[in-house]
Amino acid sequence: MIAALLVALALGGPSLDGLSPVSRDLYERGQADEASGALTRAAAAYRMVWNQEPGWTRALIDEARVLAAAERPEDALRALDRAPHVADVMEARGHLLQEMGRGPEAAETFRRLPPEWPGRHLLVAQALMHEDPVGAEESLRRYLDDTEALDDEAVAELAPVLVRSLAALGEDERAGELAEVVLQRVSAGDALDVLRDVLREREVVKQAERLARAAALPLSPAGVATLREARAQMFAGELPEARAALAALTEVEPRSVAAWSTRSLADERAGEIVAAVVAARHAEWLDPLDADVAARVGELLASHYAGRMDVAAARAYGRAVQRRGTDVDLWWRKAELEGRVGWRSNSVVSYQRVVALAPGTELAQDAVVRIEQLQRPVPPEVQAIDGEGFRPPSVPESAWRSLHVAWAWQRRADGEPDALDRAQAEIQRTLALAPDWTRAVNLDAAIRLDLGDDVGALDRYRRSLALDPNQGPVWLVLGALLSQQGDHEEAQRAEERAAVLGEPEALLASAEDHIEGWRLWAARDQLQRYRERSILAPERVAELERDLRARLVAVVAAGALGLAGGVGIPWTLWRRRRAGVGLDAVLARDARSFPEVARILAAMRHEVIKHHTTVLDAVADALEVGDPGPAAWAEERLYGKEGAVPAFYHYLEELRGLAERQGLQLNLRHADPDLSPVVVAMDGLRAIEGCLAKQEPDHLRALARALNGKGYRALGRKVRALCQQQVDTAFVDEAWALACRELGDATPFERGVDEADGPLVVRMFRQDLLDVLVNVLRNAVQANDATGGGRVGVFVAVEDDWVTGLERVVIEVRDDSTLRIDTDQLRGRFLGRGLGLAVDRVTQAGGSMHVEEASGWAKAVTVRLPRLEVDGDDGGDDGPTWHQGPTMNDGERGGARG
Amino acid sequence: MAEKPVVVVIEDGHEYTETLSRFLSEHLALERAGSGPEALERLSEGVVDVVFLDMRFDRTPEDLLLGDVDALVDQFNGDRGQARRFRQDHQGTYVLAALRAAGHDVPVVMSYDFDGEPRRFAKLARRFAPVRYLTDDAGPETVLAALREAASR
Repeated sequence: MIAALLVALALGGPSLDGLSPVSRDLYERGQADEASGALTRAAAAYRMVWNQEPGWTRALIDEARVLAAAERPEDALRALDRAPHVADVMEARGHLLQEMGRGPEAAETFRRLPPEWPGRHLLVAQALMHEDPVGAEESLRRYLDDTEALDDEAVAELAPVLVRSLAALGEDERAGELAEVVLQRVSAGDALDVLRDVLREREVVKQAERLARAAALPLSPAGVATLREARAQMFAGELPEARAALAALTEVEPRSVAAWSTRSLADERAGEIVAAVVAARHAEWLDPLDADVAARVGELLASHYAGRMDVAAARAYGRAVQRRGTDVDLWWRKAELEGRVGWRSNSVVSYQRVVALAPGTELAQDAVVRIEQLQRPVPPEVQAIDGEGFRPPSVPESAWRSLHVAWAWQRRADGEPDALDRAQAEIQRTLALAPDWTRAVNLDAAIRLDLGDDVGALDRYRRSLALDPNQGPVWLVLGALLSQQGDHEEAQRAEERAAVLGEPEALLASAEDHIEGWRLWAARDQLQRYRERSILAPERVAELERDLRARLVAVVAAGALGLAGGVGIPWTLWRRRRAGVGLDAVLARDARSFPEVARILAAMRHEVIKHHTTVLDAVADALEVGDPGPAAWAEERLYGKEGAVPAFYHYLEELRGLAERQGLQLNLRHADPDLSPVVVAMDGLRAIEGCLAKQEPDHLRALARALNGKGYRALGRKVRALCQQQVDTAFVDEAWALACRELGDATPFERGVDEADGPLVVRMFRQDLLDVLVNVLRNAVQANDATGGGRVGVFVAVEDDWVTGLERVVIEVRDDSTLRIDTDQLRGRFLGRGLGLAVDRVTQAGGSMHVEEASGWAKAVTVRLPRLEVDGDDGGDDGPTWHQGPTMNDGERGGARG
Repeated sequence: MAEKPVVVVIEDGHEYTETLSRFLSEHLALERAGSGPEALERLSEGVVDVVFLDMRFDRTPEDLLLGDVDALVDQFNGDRGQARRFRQDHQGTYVLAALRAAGHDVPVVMSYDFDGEPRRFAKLARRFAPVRYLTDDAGPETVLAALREAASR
């Protein structure tokens, strides 16, 4: 190689033409000796040429070359030292040193080259690449920065070696930056594939190291206490306190997954999304095997960045399904996000997983629809169907053409800044040719609007209407412009005119106005006319119909219109709109939302019904005897700031928000048969705000029955039915089978479930309870194995709280291991994985875990969970009931009403 | 029994007292106690014909709630927040037990929906008789009938 380099250098030097005949003759003799292999003689000849022609560096370089080829590198160096300050000799010297393995000296030589010497920094980099990769990298970066025309091949050869060397030295950042710069600047085809591979490999190694280092640590007992307190504060709405506690906790114990996860939740609730994502990412790095943590990162990115971070979110969900490939909800979310970012094939595959995992469910059906949509062929562009157009006879052909030119310019306005000006100029030409052509006048107005000239547009629209007052859409636009300018009266008149002319949007606005003004028949008429003209905005129409119906019901009940006789109400207007889902669908989509749903429904029962709507009967009784006093008092109770009605709709909004987070539209009124009566009744109550004292007593009693009887019980049934899980022999056996499958164990197993007084049902998500039991069983087996083996047993019974009368299901997992742990250790260790996770889940379900003595066994890990009564009497829908003790007797019902 | 039964309403707020006063003051002599300790003090002062007892006490200061805090915290795996809420949500039963432990056998009508928990109510009724309950959707008339009936026994 050195020979080739030196040849290149020599050939690049001065030509033979400048030599004297003697020197030329000597040189040619040297070439002949070299060709015949007499290298020493050739070197001598080249030396003599140098002596004759000092400055003719080619001879010097040739002498060094043949000496190097004769394996006399030191002599070659000495030859070159005769002209140490000549640039091409210096370069040759540098290459020779490099070949001799003396890189740093070579680099030093190259550094002494003149600043303008081409590729000086590249030469330094090449010289240093083995001995001093950092130095080589610096030189290469200078080369890349300072040089316009790069030697792509040389860089492509050098860069991968350097990147590897830097990575080996731990200079990952430097290596990565170098690789990126090289890939940006150099185009050397396949040569850089090596570099790309090196980069990818390096990233994978880095990731692998991080994964290997990821090790969560358990919280200390103090940390556990702090975490629990912070959670309680969070759920009680004391967010600043919770956040402060969690920030301090992650500072002191930074390797707790649970602490970071909870901190993320708190940050999100406080609206600090960036902090929430950072905290969630910390949790994920600590526990890269936890699907939920990865999914949380994904959800934060998907929900709070208006699509900007959807790619990262999709990747996060990709990691989540890798960790829990059987979770259909994760696959669904992944599919949605992949669709959003345009990864169509990935999205189809993910939806197919949903179908495979949850066949026959509503979710699977939705997935099938989405797959169909994703795979639907893209519709082709169409060409316009040519025709003659409809030029009015009074409009000249030139004006016709000119208008369409103006229109075409207007349509280019988005991409071309001057298009609107061109459009305006052209439409003026049109109007010069056909000044009374309304279409041209309207287009002129529209272009002025686009240009921001509202006043000019208004003037043009007025002119258009003066020419032809029967233009419904123009009246509508005029109304909107007038309204913007604050002239509401004239705007109203314009909209009414539009409605008279049958403009659909105007009809809806008019219907709304009539409803607000209690002109119910006029509203009905406008809605009817709208339906005859348009099928758009069905949701808005349905909402107006509902409002209209509620008001009509109120009016009918008050007898104001005397409708008992049978004025026909067109029942087509009362078609129910069934868009949306009931609460069961929300719980089916995310069963873990049950605690929140339970809280909201219980709050509706206690805060709306218990102390507020229960007075309706009493108010009705008072009105019957002519006493409006209680009605006035009840107005505040029902409609005041902390009244039943605002409270109810606030909770309804919370339920809607919960559904929206699952991607569902909640419609309790029309899609939930259990809770629909409550919503209908509450809508009816809301409709009579401010006129409670004017109501018929029977109407109030009807509302009371609906709310306090049916509604109260419906809410109660819903709460009680949430997330019930029976703990029976089959469940215990299933948990044991799972634990054995994981451990491949043949431990002797005993079990007993005491269901003497009925099924043992707890309120806990099935998978969570199974996870808890499997974890405890697994620990029992491992504890046994660590101390020489033994049995494992599961025994389930009931215990009772003397004061509250509440029962708890007690699940004892007994073992024979002499390995001692106590309750504090049990609750304090590995929070986030394994037993700690079990403790966490049990706590969330309102239960406890203890380590206890067990007769005949070494110990028992005991899980206690609140027991649900599942054979309770719902009391029917007949209204309030009261029962007396000491014995419970269904026949002893009483009550003044219902 | 006095001409008008003396009823002590034990609740953390004032809703029952206000509602019953508004509609039933001509039938009942109503008094209010805002916590278990206050109720115990009142009952030791003189005749009470019947107690109307709410179940949830989430507005009562924590130091006035009855129940063994440490035992409850242990029952909830050290979660003080859950323990506090449990005490609040079932405080009525703690008050009832305290009344009986203090020797007050006055009839008690609890306002709570035990319809879904018949077994629980049967136990409470056996242990802390005489006690009955009204579901808390009951209006003033229903409450009056139940209180009169309880006071007459």
